[in-house]
Amino acid sequence: MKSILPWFALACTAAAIIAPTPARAHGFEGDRFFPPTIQTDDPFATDEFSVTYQSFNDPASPGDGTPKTREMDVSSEFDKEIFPKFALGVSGTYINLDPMDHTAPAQDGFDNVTLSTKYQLWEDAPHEWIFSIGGEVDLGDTGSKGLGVNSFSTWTPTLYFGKGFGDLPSQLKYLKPFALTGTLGVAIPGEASNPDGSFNSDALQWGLALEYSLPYLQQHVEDIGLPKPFSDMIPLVEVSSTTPFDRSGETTTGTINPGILWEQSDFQVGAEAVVPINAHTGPNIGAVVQVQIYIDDIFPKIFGHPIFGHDEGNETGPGNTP
Amino acid sequence: MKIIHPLYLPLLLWLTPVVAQAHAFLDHADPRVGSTVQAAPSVVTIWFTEELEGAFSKIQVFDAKGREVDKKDSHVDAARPAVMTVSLPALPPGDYKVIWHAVAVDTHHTSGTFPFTVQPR
Repeated sequence: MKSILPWFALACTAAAIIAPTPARAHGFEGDRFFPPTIQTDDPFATDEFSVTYQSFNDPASPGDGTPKTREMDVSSEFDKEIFPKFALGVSGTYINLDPMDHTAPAQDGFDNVTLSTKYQLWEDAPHEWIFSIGGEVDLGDTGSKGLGVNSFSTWTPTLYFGKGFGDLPSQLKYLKPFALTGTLGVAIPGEASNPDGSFNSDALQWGLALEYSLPYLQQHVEDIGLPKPFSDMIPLVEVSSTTPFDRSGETTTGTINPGILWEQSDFQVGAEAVVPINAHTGPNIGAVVQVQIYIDDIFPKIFGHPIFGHDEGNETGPGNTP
Repeated sequence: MKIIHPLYLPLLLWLTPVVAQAHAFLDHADPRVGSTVQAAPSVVTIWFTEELEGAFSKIQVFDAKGREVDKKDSHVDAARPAVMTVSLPALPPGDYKVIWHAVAVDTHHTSGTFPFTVQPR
């Protein structure tokens, strides 16, 4: 068996070299590049790798004796296109909880592992539309018990969409760089109640990201002479919310995240403020920074195309043919 | 000392990241994207962010009625592989649309469009 491995490696390499697959660009619909956004999952089933750092302060909970805590999360997600327009993903988050009054030791560990899937169901390149279906499952009891991770899995079937406004009439040309993406899902916990008698509610989860692409303005609408780095920036606002349906008596929580994405050929850096939409979400503004690595550019022979089959009609393309 | 089996070397080379390769996008163009020009241009030239494969890359120019008006001689500049040009006849005043298709040297496909206008003097 041991002697077979080098020959297997050589055969795999030869197969990849002899039968190269055209690589496609990530997240394009016509002229529109939909950047991977931080809070709202984008609708594309493509090869992606990201690392996200988030920091915010949790308030002290009156009555239960918990101190005000600074929370720092470092998460990473990897997605791979398996079949054309169908991708699987895995993500994990390392959490550090540090009581700000130092009355208790800091706690850290991993949150539950999350698996995800996505399929690009319908696309309209000339009008920069895309609809996808998919979802994710938070695998119960796969994280650090000291953090109180859920012992049960939670399934979240989700709809995804993206719409660019490059098809607006030329009189509205300065609105063409706008694009909107969004998600709508229902989180369904695997167990309805906990041993302590509390309930786990199904919850409506939605998110929207409104972005204004300066690269789109420069490359497809009008070259207004923006210098770098501004010509590579995409200002955006993301909104996300969770509303429990039943049982738990909890209320809606969510955040509004204004921020900016900076596009480079091999990576994207994004930074956003995290503003709670209500007191129930929290009283403090947090911050999140994400680095998105375009692994199809760095490893073009491995990424940027499905493992099985070939992408067709999903490359970048002239959106509005004459 | 254990030495890596030589048959693994091609695999390692294949896995080696190629940071210099990326998608080719429009950097700037002449006529400028979205511009209005007084004199009809004789060529459309696009500067890309990456070097192109000439055999698979092209520029086309269409008038407002969707008719291709370029001379169909699109080519990548031999001395500057990130620059592509197509020639134009004497264009009458009107709105025009440029459509470009680019294949970078790493085989990544990209394409896009932009308008320009020739205005009567």
